[in-house]
Amino acid sequence: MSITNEKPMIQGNQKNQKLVGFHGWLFLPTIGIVAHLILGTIFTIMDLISLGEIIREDYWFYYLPKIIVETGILLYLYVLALRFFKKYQNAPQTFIRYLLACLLSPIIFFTIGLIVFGSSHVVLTALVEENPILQNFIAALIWIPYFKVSKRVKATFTKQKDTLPYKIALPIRYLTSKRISWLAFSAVALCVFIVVVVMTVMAGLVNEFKEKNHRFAGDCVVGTESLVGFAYYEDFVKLAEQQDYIEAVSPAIKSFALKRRRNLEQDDIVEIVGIDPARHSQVTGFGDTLYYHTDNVSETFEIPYDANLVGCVLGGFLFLQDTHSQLLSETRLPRIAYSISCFPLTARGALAQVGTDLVNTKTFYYSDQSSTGLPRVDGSIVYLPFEQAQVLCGMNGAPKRASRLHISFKPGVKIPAGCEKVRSLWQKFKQEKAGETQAYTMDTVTVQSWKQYRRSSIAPMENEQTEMSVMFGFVGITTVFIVLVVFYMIISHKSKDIGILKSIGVSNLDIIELFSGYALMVGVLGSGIGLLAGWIFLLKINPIEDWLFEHYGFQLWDRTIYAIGDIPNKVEFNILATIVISAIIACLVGALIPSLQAARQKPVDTLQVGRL
Amino acid sequence: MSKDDLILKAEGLHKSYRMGATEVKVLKGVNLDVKKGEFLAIIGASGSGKSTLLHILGALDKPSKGVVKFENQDLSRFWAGKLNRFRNKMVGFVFQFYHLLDELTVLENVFLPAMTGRSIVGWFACRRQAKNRANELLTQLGLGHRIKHKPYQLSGGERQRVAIGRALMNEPKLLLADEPTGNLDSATGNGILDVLEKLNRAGQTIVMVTHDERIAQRAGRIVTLADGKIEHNNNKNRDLCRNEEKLCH
Repeated sequence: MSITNEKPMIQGNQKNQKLVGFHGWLFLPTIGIVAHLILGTIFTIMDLISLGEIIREDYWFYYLPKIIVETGILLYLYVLALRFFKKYQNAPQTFIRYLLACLLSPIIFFTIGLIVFGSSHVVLTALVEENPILQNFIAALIWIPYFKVSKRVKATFTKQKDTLPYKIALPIRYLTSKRISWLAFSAVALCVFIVVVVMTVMAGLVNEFKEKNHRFAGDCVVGTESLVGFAYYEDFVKLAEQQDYIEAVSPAIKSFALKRRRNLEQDDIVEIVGIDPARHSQVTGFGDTLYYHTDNVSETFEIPYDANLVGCVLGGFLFLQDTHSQLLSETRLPRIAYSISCFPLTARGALAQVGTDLVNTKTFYYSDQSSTGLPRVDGSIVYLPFEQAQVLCGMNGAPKRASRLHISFKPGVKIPAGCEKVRSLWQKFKQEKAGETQAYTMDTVTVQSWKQYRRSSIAPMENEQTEMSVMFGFVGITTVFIVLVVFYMIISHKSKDIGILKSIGVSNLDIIELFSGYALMVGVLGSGIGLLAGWIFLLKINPIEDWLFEHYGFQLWDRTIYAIGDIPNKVEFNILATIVISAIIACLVGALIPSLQAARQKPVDTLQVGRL
Repeated sequence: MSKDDLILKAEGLHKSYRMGATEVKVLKGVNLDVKKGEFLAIIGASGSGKSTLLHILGALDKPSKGVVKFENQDLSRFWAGKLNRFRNKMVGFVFQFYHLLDELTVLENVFLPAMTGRSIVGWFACRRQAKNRANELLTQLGLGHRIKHKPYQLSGGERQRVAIGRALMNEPKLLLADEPTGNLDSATGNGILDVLEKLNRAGQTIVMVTHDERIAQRAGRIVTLADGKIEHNNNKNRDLCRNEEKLCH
């Protein structure tokens, strides 16, 4: 029955059933879709796997957009395949769009390629191979008219497309049709981008700094801050080396001294550290910090041009100050002599040579420099051979004394557990030595993990990271606020829709779900784009900084102040996951209040023009 | 009149709003019965409370006092979920300003009530039937060729027909129309009234609110709302029968 005076529209029922199906000429595009689907997926997966490498390449700005576009076309091909094989009405239109995309994309990238790489024969051949313009042009020439006029196409693709439930369809339409949605989306993307970049760089700096401290100290340090040192260390080293969880032990002497470069009148106060370089390298990363002796650490203090001379290793910054930042020769060791003067102390802390010569002075020759990347260490430490340092500090008497023992644990031993074992071992050792003449020197000895030992250096950095996290917490709150404002505006605009939906029986919970779904889409898409942009930016942060320094003299961190090489850009999965989840939660929280408000609205309040 | 013949019964309906410090009494004890299959027009001057009454009858609003019974069930005793189901399944609304969702197509607007009454899984299970029903309704309403259009691409009359299609989607027992021709020119308005008349003839119960007496004349019964009360109850059919009886004699 018709309920209007108009005649009902006759829907096409006169189709020739023989024409329905993927037969005739339609068989060819059917095969084409399947083949493109398989090959396209394989090639795109291969491209995506090598995406990280491609981005690091010089011509990433050509290849990255190309991969993104090609991935987009592949995704569209999936949509096409779905519509095509389900025989949806819009499949021919989708097929035509796909052919046009396949034609336009190579033309665009061929043109960009010519601009970027030039037009040499090799380049042209490669570009033609990469961008099959002619092949796609012929395909478009044949199949676009066919899909426009073919009776078989019209008879086959008759099914109406599926409609998504309104809780999915409406948020998608709101997202695509409202400009204000793009504002929320951009705000989220921008915030995620900033947080990803800053948190990655900050976390990288802190982790790098911690790692440098770890490599400087080893896993565990048994020692005293007293300049007197402690006795019986050799016995404890032997005992420790017998433990199955300890890899190596390196005793060290620590004191302060005056350093004077020969022919200069100026004395500098430095921290002297006496070590056995080979042993110390087994426990710490000392060997890797050297400039000349990375591969032959045991010869660190040897002077190649005179075997009778004794070498010393200066902290990197210290040496730079001494040489006024002159570059080192990679092959020839400069001949620089230093006088190191130190006050030797007795086990009780008195001056050891009262009445004779109060100061021990010895000449050392520059044999290498050590760059740990820790400014305070590199700017103040002079490494000396262990025995020489022991003599200088007066710790060579019987029993011999040392300032600290650096310990490394065997692989698999957790540092806190290892330190606890060393602590027990030390207590036991101390009790055994209680009756010895210099047992009192052991009273000030502590057993610390590398973190505890370097606490004073690490804590400010960790505080800085906490401060940054709090600051970015505020950025997160700002995001929530922006999203809240945007959603408030959107929902205010959509109050009529809410009234309509409620008038047809939509519940308050459904309204909340609808707008939460919308917020989820904004959050997922925004954070996805922000994440991708942040990741690409991080991969390119060092070349960008290099370029800025080269052209404008701009450096994010002044390398003469900050002991960093490259800006840390290692993206950590847990940081990314935390940021993305936080962004999505921020969006949901931002949308929750306006959603609740929307849900509470009475339909009559939004649908009526006037109350009466 | 038997109790079962009534689809809707309003008893002593009062409704008042606060406007600043003053309380505005809109309805002051409305009593109204609507029979199954009836086409009732509620007529009254602007501001007389007709729309408020219609919204209360359709459970879009609550009365300050009084009872609305739908098939002998008191609407005030319905909990939120049941009230939503009632609005989804039992009544269909046609508004003066159509109130279609701009983001959805004509077809989607029409099958929206079928969608909202179901879960996502439930929708996927019955989407074909719903679409067929919506297509059928739109074809009957003369909009079969407009299903893919967006509401803003339609004329006023077409939009109102879409709104009627949406209201009928779930085959409601009661159709409530609030000034359905108020925003249309007289020719288009007549077309809409023709549709409502045809629906009524097919058994659809309709309650229509209008301020225009000529439009109200198209209904089977007219009640006049003035000063918050039903003032005049005019059964056109009864009068017509009486006239016919006189003629026969």
